[in-house]
Amino acid sequence: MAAPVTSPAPSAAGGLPPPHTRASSAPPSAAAPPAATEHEHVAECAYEYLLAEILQWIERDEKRIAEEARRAAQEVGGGGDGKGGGGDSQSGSDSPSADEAAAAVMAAERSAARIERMGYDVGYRLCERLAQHRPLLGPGSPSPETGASDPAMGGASGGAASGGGAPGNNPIIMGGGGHNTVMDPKTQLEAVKFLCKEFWTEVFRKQIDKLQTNHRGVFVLKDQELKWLRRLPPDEESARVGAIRILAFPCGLIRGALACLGLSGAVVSCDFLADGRTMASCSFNIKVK
Amino acid sequence: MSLATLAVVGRDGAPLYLRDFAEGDNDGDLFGDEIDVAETTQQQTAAWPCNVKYQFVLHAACQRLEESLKENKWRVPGATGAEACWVGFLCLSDNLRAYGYVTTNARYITLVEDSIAPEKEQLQKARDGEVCTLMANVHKLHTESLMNPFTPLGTKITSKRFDAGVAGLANAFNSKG
Repeated sequence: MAAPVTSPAPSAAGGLPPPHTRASSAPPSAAAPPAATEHEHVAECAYEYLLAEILQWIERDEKRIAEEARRAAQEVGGGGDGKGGGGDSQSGSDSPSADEAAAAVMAAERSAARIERMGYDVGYRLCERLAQHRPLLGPGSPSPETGASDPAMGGASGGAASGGGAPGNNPIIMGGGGHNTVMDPKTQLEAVKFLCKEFWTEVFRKQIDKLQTNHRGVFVLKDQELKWLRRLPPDEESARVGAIRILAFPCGLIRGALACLGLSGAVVSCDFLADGRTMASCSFNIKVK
Repeated sequence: MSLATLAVVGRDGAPLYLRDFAEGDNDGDLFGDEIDVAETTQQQTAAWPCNVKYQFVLHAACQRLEESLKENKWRVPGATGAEACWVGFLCLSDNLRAYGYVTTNARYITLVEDSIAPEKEQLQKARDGEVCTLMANVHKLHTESLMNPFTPLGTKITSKRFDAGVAGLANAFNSKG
């Protein structure tokens, strides 16, 4: 049986990538007919193309916004008599090159922030969808019972490719939440493990390769072969810049997924670990309060 | 025994959705003081379509739910699916039974009118199971309303599809009892 491929349908309003939905693999309500086992198939590369276009669009958009802001600032500052012209961008600015450099850096940062925000939205909603079928329990006391918190990541409905781990049917016990109680490290670990296994499988069809933690709220997730980075040219400096831009989205995905699971104050940063041969390896650092 | 109220509360306690289904008279005159409360009730029902007297019971139920969650003894070990999120009977107040259902991001509380005699335990258990299924379906509807990329996260649920779905579920539940 072919696995359902995650695919977005292009959003009419443009810009915001719609959340990944499993194509008709889960009937939306109890009354849906059981014939919803037919999966739609969409090419996996579709999302890579879409992401590339999104990145370019955001860069263009931020440049445009920066241009307009600069022009508006010059109109206000340069022409007090109301004659500040739109074409007068060269004269009147003190140090055009420094300004432009600063503006460029600002635009790059804002683009990254925007993409990360998109990722946050998508990650949150996707995680909500995934948690629905494998019920993650909501806020309880911060310390879960030891009996139920062993990593039995079984799913209630048709277990997915969870690979190893005891094939139990226990739902994942989450603690914390509610009035901003801090989750204890054990449940934090459970949340991150769910992220590494189920969530990552859903998005990239593989699990995170390596997870390290210091049991005090810092996690490092290493992926040796991130699908979206595979096409980068090896051994080029521009590849690094491109990779960092692309990686903003998975950062947002991780942050959104963690927020959905109860770790709302996480800070996620990414690192591009490629050497000449494997351009696609990267790592994500999660810091939870 | 009919469904009186449904409430969806966020993880931090903020209300996301309140709705009542009883068709009683909608007067706000709870204490017989003959104060004219018609206006406030209309404004309130515009914002939160739930009668105030149900909101009192919901608050009590919410508090009881939080206590249960803190104690962390409500989990049935080895339960899967909807059973895993089911907290169960919370409290009885004003002839209304409150039930709780907890998921990662929200808590669902329903108030059901109490009309089964205490002896009839089997019937009560069956009814409880139906409430559990109802809340699992509401959970599904909520997840779907979140799938809309234009709804801001963590705010009041304003989706018409959710409204219609919940009304349908309530009607189905009431017609069975």
